Amino acid sequence: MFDKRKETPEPPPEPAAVAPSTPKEFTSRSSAVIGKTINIKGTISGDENLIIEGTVDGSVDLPQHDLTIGESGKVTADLDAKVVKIDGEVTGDISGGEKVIVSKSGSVRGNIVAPRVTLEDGAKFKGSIDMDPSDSKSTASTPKPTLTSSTSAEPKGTKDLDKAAG
Amino acid sequence: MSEAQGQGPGLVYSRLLPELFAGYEDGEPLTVLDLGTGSSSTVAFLSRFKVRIFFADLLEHPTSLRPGDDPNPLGLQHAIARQLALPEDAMLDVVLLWDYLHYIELETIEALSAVLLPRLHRNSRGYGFGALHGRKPADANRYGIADRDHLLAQPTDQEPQYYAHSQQRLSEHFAALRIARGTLLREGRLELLFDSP
Repeated sequence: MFDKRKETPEPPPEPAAVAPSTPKEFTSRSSAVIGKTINIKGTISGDENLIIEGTVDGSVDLPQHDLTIGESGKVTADLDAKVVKIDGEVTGDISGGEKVIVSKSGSVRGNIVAPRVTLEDGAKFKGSIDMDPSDSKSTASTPKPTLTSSTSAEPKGTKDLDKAAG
Repeated sequence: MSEAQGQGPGLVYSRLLPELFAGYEDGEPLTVLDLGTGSSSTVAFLSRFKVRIFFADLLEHPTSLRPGDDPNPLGLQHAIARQLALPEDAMLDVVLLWDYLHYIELETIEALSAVLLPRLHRNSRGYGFGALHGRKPADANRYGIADRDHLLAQPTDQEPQYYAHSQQRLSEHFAALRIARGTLLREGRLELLFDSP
């Protein structure tokens, strides 16, 4: 009637499988992990930090939390998080409420909007970076009336250099 | 050649970079087009501004930007505009040309100029390199901004065709910006500061 095996507590799941690749920056907080063999199509949202080591095609919406794309992560999606760290590959637009970091192993094709953006040496990036997310549209269309006299003057030395250039 | 001494490999002193950003205080809005690959040093330097940076490495697919048999220059302009991928509202304060103009033919320079012209305003500026000795091939480098008066030059293994356009040719075919100043850099090249004509 009573199965002793059922009374025996089951061992906890093994988070150790992803621990070695967990970025140091976020190890102090608990994070959900999408493992290397997981493929997801669709929208991901939630109320905790997330590490993606697998493949995601869609969008990730975690505006109050940290998002890490691990070295094995391949994401084709628009990303929105408080802090976004890219160690893997991302194709899509990235919005960081605080900052976006593309590490040396990271590759991004898309546009980044965040108050602070760091590209580490070796990072691959193609797209635009907007570090003035609050009012970029208004500033972009406003010419700056700040030319110094030296650059607003007529060309200097052009003739001499032309001669040298042949 | 005016390479900074004892300040690390690839670091090159520039007299004109300070003028490129003269008048822009830290924290001010700034819109920049960089015709190169995304550079960590450039992003780090420009982060002092409220900056919007567009990286467009036009050498990534160079064959698509060569003048073909089509006599209509609009085709080339459309190809360049597609690769620049600038949003409609983007008006450029600074264009970092680096040495890109020397890797494209004159027809492509004219097409690039036509595409950039409506994106520039009366105080837009540019920065790039001239070629002093046309017969001397240039080392292929990726460039970035290290600080207000230093460039970072990192050699690449790319070997695209180098045309070494004279300053006069650049002035004739790149009408979007005007060469305002030039100073001597290493390898017989010039650094050039452009402003709006």
